[in-house]
Amino acid sequence: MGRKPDVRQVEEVALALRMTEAERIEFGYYIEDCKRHGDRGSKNDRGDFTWDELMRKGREFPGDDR
Amino acid sequence: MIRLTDYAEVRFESSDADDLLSVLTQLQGQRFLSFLVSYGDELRLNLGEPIPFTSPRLRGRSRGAYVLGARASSWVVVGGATRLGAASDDVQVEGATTSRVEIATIETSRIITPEAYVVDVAVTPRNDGFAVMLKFSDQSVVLIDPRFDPDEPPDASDEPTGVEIADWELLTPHSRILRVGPGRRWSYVDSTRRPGG
Repeated sequence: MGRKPDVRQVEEVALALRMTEAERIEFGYYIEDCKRHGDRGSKNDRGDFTWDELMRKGREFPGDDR
Repeated sequence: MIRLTDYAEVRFESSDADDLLSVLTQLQGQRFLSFLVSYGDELRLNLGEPIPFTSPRLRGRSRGAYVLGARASSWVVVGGATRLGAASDDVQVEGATTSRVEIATIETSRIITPEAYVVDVAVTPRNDGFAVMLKFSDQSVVLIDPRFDPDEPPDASDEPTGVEIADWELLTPHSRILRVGPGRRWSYVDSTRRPGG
């Protein structure tokens, strides 16, 4: 499978949560960092995130400072 | 006479390759900061002044004032001083000295010399889209080429919003984002507006 479905899903979550472009780009790094440090999704064996999991990540991003 | 470009001027749905190149000239002289990998194995090239991330999770790290994102396109990076090269997994590169590694490896690879700066930018019509190539002062080259897979289903999403994905994009410090593709069309629009706002 190519990269496009995951890239598109991040864009759609950013759109749904009304992120600016800079926030969307940082959100992409944010969830990649989550995945690398063991906070993985349940979509597949690679630890990718489902739509609901990404939406939850989007709501908690960027954390207390928002 | 001189050439004067306003990097704040927006464009919608253009197909003008010369004008696209004029937008990209703002990259000339920008220093290489880092490669960062975004979710979905997307390569992002950070250039210019470091901008600290806002998330507490990413505290102490930064992106570039300019962020060139490869989205789902193919890409190739060829080092100048380092004699290393890297390519996305859909680029056919075979040889005794080629190995398959995780994409995150590129973040620490130092393929491009730190502080090398952009000396040339080129745009070429390719694969029913626009390819972009950056050349750096250390002779390194970055090429992003729209991915064309005849077996790939049309770009229609089965998710709630069905947004269209650009072939590549450039976030700028001028409150503008350049979105190129799909196809030979591009826009240069406000990056600070919230969707639906």
